[in-house]
Amino acid sequence: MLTTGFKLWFGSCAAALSAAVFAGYTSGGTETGPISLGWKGGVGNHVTYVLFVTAAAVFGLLGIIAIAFRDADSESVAEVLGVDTAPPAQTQVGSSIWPVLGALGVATLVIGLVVSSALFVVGLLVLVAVSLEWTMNNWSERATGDPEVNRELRERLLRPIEIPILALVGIGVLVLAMSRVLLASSVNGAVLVAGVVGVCVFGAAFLFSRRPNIPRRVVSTVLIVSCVAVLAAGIVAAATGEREFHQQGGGSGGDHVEVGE
Amino acid sequence: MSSTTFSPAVPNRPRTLVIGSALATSGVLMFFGGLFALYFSRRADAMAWGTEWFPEGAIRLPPGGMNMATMALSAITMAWAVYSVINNDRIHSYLAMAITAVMGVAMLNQTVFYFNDIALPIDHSEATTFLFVIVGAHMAMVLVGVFWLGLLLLRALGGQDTSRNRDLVSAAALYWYAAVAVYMVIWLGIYIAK
Amino acid sequence: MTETAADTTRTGGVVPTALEAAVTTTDHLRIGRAWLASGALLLVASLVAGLLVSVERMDLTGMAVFGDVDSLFRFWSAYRVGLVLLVVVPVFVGLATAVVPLQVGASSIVFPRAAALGFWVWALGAAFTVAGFVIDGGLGTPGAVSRTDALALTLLGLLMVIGGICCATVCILTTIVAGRTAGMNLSRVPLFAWSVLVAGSIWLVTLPVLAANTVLIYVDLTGRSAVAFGVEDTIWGQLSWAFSHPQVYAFALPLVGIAGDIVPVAARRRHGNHRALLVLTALIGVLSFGAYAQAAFDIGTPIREQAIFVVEAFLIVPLVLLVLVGLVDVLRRGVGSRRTRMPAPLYLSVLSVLFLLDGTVLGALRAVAPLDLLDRSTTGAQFTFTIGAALLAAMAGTLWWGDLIVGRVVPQGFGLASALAVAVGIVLIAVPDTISGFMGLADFTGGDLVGAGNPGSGVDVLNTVALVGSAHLLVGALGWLVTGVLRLRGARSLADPWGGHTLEWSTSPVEVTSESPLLDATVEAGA
Repeated sequence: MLTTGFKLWFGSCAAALSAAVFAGYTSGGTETGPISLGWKGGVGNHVTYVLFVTAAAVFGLLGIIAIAFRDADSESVAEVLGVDTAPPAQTQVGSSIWPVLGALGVATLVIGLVVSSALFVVGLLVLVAVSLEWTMNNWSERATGDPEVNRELRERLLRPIEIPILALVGIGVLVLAMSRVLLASSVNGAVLVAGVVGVCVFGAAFLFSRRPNIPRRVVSTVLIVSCVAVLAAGIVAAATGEREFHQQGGGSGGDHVEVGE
Repeated sequence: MSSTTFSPAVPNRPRTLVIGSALATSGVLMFFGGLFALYFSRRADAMAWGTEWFPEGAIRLPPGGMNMATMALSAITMAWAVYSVINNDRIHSYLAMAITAVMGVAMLNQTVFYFNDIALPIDHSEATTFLFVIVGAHMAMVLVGVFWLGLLLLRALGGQDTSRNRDLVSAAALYWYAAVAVYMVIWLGIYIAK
Repeated sequence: MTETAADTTRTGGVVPTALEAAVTTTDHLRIGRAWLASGALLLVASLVAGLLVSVERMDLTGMAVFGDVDSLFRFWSAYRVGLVLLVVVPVFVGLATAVVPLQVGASSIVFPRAAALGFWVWALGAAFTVAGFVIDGGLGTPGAVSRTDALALTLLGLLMVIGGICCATVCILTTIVAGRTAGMNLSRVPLFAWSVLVAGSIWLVTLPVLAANTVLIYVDLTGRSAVAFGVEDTIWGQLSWAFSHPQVYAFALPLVGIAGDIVPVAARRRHGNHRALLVLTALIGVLSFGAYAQAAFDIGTPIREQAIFVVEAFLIVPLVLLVLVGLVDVLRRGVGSRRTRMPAPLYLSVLSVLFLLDGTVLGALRAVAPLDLLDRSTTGAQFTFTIGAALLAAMAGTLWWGDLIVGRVVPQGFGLASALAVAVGIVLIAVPDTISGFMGLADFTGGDLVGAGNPGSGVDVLNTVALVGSAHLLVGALGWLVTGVLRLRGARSLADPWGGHTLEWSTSPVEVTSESPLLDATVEAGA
């Protein structure tokens, strides 16, 4: 018996093919062109014809899959598995950071296409990292029937890789951002910025160590806000550009001593 | 020495991944359908007016033919991977997936070499813009397929590409066959018909 | 209805903050709410752009608001793109993400992480698209004065928007096909789920074509010199097929399902022929495939004068009429057993089908060559009727399923008043634009009378009415937004406030055994 999904998609396929042939004949196609996919003669309006034929192929593919799988009806799935009731199509997966990080990767890639190729590469790397993490998450969720064991498995496998990489990337990005700020500032300004930032970091670390009861939320908020501020300052400084450097001495091997504004 | 036994995970509902993959692949196919529709339209117009489409000698058949042969062979190795997974033959499934991915990389390498060789600028004409967009988009499609196969190999090494989870490989295979089909149109429409 | 436990507490027992929960959620109700909220906010932004364009049209001889034609064109195109890809489609995707899994008896949307990815990619893409329009980019201008990097940003944002929508659509469609509960075969799914299946299939075969157009334009634009596709004043022409007849019907199609689910419950009568409605919805879907109507690639006879375009335009009218007749028939048969007070979504959903019918009639009229309406303001009127109908249905849908999606109630009167303001706005814009089209007013009026098509006298009055309509639309949209906020603060809702008997209202696992599951219990009670 033909399934509903097959009827929907195969019907759409037939309609698209008919439309292609009709459009072909009514837009200047030759006698045999529209019915031979252009092999024997012209098909008329190429845009119309090719798009309808492609749509027909796609609908045909979906129709074939629908009938091959009996519309993936619960009963047919249970029969395939040899059980009375088919398992749920989707198990609970809990919250996940990877979708939003993946989207941020795409966004970085897009900004990179408009602004700089370095950002494009960063976006690409983020996407690769997210894909790997996503895959390992999926793998660990299917490892055993115990979610707690699965979580431990995942952490044991990935944490030794994630933590050093994240630390390296985090430190690298912050150092890069700070360097942009220092290079954009005047000579005295750079000294001042370095001093103030150093005092802030030291002061915050001192405060946190003296008061271990400070809530985790406050500590994480301070850290996140500080990192975002340094990043933003780095982006602004990078956009502004470096201050002018005057070379003292000459020759390629000479010492470079900068003198600022 | 003690050993702990864990209950197996609840089985996935079959078909779900393959249907998701079929729907996503449909979108990808229509993307190429859109590009081909515009390509053939503009090409037919240029031919009708007797204007040059691709510069003389720019498009050569051997590189396209080699790529087509590589892609066609990769379709066979992909089918081999699906067959091996269904039969719980892990060694052959690793081998087949790895060979398919290597063929994808070979095809990408060949295309990059060829395009460097012909040194046609992308903004030489409408035809070259189309050429770079269509071939470039297909390269991206193959690259995604190769990456997908890499991820599958990772899961296979974790013991999950078995007949119980055959949909993982079947879904990727569907996408890969679509990449081969798209290349077939590129081969016929661009390399042969020029 | 509550979020799943897995979503509210992370594994490991640490309770996430509200922000963490919102950003990392994979719960279909939360993702649905995110689509709806973003769509509502972008609706207001789009309508502000529309209102400014309407103000500018008050004086066809010069530029009062924008200063130059290019800025006007930017806002005019932003209004259309925004209403379709940043409002109507996302709102339908949001409704479907939240409601469809429940309708087919699935415990969750299939591929929930991919569904979340779809939302975030769309949201960031929408931000880029809007930013592109604001910083002198957009989708090209007649004077070719845009910044290339801003144009590129808009195009890439558009690609992300398309990608996000397609990703979410794949998840929804897979849920409908592969996530159904026992006994719920495809011909038994509620009409909303079915209409989303049909519309989603059409989106998946047309939006990638729009992406192909966009990629071609982007690549050519960012080359050393644009050869053909990236030439700025041709960009809109290459993309405009997605925002006009017949493609707009595909974006509006889920409204048939919304009305089809609301009317029988409100009238306490099942559809006379459920299968006929399934077939009609599928036929409308097939006829709304509009990717082929690419006027920018015309060679020889323009595509909009070819037989396929004309036949499609005329065939779709009786189909929508039959849907309307079917719904009215249900209402007529339910006269005896109807509630004393009809729910607000009923009026809105029926009105939305009526507006869709108006849109299709205008589409057919546009296809009549001697009337010469193709590039007249009738095009805008058809867009307003069709996309307005979708908007109205979306408002009806959020009022109908809002209790389920948010878990809290809202005063129906306020929601109804907001939606009626939108309905009045649609009529006040579309009817004058239709008449103006017959009087020769151009779709895009440009900066002087010649650009406006030298319309006959009386167009100024009609443009004034349309301006009032734009203001109505904006007020209605703001009202919709306020309705959403009020709902967040409302009292807890009942499990089944309407007495509906499609699966989304059920609180326990259900196995479907009936051939016509819709309304069985109600029919027994009401008959």
